[in-house]
Amino acid sequence: MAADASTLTMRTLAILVIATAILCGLLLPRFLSVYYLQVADVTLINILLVLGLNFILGFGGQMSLAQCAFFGIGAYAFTLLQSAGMPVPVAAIGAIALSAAVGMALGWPTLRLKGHYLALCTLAFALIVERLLVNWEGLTNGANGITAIPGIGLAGENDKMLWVLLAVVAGAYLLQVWIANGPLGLRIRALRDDPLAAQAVGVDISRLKIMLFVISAAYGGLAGICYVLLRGYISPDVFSWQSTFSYLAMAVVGGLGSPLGAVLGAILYTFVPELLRFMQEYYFAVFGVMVILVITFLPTGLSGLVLSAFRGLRRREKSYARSDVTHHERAA
Amino acid sequence: MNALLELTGVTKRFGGLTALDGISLSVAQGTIHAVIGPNGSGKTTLFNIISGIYVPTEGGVRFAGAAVTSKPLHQLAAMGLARTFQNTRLFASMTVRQNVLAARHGRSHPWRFDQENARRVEEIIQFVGLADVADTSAASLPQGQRRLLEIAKALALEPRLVLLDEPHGGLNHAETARLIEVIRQMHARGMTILLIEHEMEVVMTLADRITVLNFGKVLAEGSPADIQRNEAVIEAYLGRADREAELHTQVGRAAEGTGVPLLEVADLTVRYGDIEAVRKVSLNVGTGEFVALLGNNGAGKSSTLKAIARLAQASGSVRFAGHELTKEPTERLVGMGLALVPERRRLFGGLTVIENLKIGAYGRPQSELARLIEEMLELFPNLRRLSASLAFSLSGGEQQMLAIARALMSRPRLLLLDEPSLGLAPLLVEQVFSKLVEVNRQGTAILLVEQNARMALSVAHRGYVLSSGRIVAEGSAAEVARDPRLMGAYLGHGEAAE
Amino acid sequence: MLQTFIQIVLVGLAVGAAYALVALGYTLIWNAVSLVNFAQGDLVMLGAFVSVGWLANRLGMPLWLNLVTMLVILGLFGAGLAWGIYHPLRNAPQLSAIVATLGLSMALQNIAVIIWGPQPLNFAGPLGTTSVHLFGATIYAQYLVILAALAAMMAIQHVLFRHTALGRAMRATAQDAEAARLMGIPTARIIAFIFAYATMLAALAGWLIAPLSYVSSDMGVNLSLRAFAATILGGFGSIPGALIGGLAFGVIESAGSFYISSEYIDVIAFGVLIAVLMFRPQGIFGELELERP
Repeated sequence: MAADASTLTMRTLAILVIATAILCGLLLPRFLSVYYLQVADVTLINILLVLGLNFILGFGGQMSLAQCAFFGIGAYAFTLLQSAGMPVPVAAIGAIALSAAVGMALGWPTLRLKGHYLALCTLAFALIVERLLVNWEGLTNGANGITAIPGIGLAGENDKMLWVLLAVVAGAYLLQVWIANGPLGLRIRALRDDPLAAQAVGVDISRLKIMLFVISAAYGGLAGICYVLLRGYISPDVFSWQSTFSYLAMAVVGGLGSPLGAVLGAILYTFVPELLRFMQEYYFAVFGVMVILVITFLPTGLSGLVLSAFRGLRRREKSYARSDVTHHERAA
Repeated sequence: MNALLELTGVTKRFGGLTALDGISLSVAQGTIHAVIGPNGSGKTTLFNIISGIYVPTEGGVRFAGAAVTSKPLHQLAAMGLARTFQNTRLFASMTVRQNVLAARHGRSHPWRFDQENARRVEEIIQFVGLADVADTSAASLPQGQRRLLEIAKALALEPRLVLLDEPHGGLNHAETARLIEVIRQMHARGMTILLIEHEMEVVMTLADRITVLNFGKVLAEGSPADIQRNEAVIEAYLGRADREAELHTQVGRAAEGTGVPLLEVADLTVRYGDIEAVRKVSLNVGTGEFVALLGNNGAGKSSTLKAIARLAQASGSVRFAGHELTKEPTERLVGMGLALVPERRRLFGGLTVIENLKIGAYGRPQSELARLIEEMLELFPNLRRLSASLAFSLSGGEQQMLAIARALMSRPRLLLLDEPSLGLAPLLVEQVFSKLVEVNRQGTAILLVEQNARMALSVAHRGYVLSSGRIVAEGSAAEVARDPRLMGAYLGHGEAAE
Repeated sequence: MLQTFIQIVLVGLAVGAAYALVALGYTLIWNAVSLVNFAQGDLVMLGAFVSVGWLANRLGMPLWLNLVTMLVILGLFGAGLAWGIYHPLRNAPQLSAIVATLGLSMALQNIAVIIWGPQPLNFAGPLGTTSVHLFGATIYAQYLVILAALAAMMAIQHVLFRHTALGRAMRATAQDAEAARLMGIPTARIIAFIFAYATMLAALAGWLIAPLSYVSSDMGVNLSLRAFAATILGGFGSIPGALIGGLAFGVIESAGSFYISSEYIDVIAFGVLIAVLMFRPQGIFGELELERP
């Protein structure tokens, strides 16, 4: 009974997402210049990064500031594996696997750390990764970066890469929704709502947290691969440690833990300011203030607003874990 | 009769504090076993050790024949040991059904939702009586239903042993009856239940066997009837009768005041979210009078004081020297002549004794400080040699004295005290009470909240008894001491508290 | 050899002094209201900009007037933060407060660019590039000013905390705000003052380091990170820890950069930090959180 409702809604959502992706793929190249197409491509990569952040931060409630590091590790691993002679699919899997492994290595010892300690630990990690990318010239060619990466031969072809990215992001989006609506999603929400109560019903929260870290890292690595495919060249400054705050801001304003929020947040942070270049500082100053306002008064973010507008249109509530509903204000 | 749960010599220390001392306890399969004891006796610590949240310093725990002493909470849950929490811990972002479903995860398919499981979830929801609200968000449930959901989550584990941590907190009569029924049904289905509870009516009705804790040790064990008659238990809750007489002889009775009302509380009601902790309480304290406010744990005594001191939201009226307090912020009260010595003292541990005293006189002119401090050191001589010591390094008794001195620094007309005897050995309690009488004789009115009823009544002028948030007895101290409702409020026989 | 060593230590101490001032701010706010202000470094940036961009460059204020005015402005801003950031979030989970201060950091950086433009400011200060010879080493005079300022600040703070009623009220509020209210202490106002004070410490650091390099909108983030690391090293919540952690971190950076590797110094320093977080999260002076009975 309830299980059927979930699958039905899932199917509808899948159709909706795929339709939207196809629509974007068809319409965007018509209306956007080459420059803005590239911005759209980068926006899609950012969506992927924030979707990844959703797992550990939005679902798990753990403050990880390492997403930019996994972005960088995925990109460089993909590049270096290709130059070691591996075909693209193998290099891609290798890069994701490496990101995931690093995610586990970081996640496991940091289990005991809370709040600001974890934030600092992951931030320190991000800084270390960036410094290694810059200084380990033997491996990464240092600050000059690596150019002429073969990939799938679409580097710089923004319109064709758009299709690739749309497909990847649609898949990643649906995967997140599928996880969030399944039994795993319930365990994740239990962890988020009350870790002690979750343990009391048998959830191994340590394992769950590590799993979330690993999935976040994998998404980050995948984003790195996409970036390499898009650009054909990489340099460490794309993966600066300061950039991690941008992904956090996107996630918050969009709505923590919401896949739709990841999309909205990334678009608002990456695409919209390009349309408003003349007032960019004002835009980002306002964005910073938005972060404060959202986290204080509207924790479900913009996606929460959008979804409650649509709620009236739905005949019946989805019975199961809706990952876009997060509750920050809790009774003691 | 085999023991499902067995504790042997369990001791738990937190730094210098021994919360549990050599506890041995055996819970037989298929029984309802209750753990009771005065405030601070270690009941919650005991539960936390059994459910794997704390690791005992010494001793061991066996469940269903297996040693489980350092197993973490989630593993115990998988083994069939479920627990509820005193402050209900629900998954606030989920509906009732989702809460139970989340709790079923150990018994259901990890990737799909299956029908069998869904059916079981429905059964559990029906069983606790939440079928009407199955799709309501857990965060919006009233207290009675929250408690039922808390139990439903435990049942989802198909447990053999259920630990219920004060499941009746904040419930009204009807809700309590329903909860008792649910627990009985659970028992009928073969579950073993271990229960911490303050509501004596509930404990006496439900329990097959009771263990009484006091100061971290097992004080007594037996059937409900045995426990109610047990002198040691009565003493633990109400205080020793002979010491009471001794104190009375030594110290005499406190002043009766001038008869002019100083504090007038009318229809005070305190709500925490959905729970009514204090229900239309009216009491008063005259100028210079010594009044005791008594009652068991959870009766609402602390909440009453907190409401008077404006640390908790309340409706009703609180007048102090004719002035309505309910609109004043807490920080104004000291200036008006009202000082509170909070539960567990709440000294500023990182400040010295002298600094704590100075803080007590925060609003007063600097020139007075030296004189006030000197007065306090005369009144509490053993603080003198501790002047430069940090407050956290003082012993329990010294800390209590300091807390009272700190409150007196502001020269209050009314001194409120919240369970000053908590955690103190009986000899120290007597010392504290003597001091309070001395202070009272110098003209300060006192409203004393105490669990240790006999001691308090041996020196106070008048008393009130609270039970489940209502006043059930009042009168002169001697009258209240003889009133059977006093015993009933603590140990559940005598007239019901309604 | 020795001269080089002394030079490195002195430079490290001076940089560390700036870290210490920021770390003190973290600690005071944390002790008072259990909030980690990730924007603390940006307050340093703000102080530097106000001092250089407005008071010096636009208004040509003399040095001491510049300092005092800037401190007053930033102090008021800090009190505003207590009202606008802390107060609405005082009952929210820790995650929310961290996120809010990160949002504040982002906003402040962009506001700085809006007000003072995207170009970093260069400010020689009254001492310019004057050098001083000390124990055989040659260092900028400004470094000595920084160290002297830190020493003076610690002395002032000691008097404030230990010997005034206000200081006592601050410490009491930090330890137990509810009990403090029972004593008649207006905790809301005291908390605002603590924020103002912590902000002024950061702003002072900004005023002190402005002449040493460019004043730019992104200088704060870097400082935040390093001062944060220093705070954890010294022990979160400990005032001596903040002081010693800050100075130590500065010296470690300076020495490590010279003797081991200037490229990998960050990897080393933050690697050490991660190790500390893993094995001794309470740092040097902090206290382990015991299980609560």
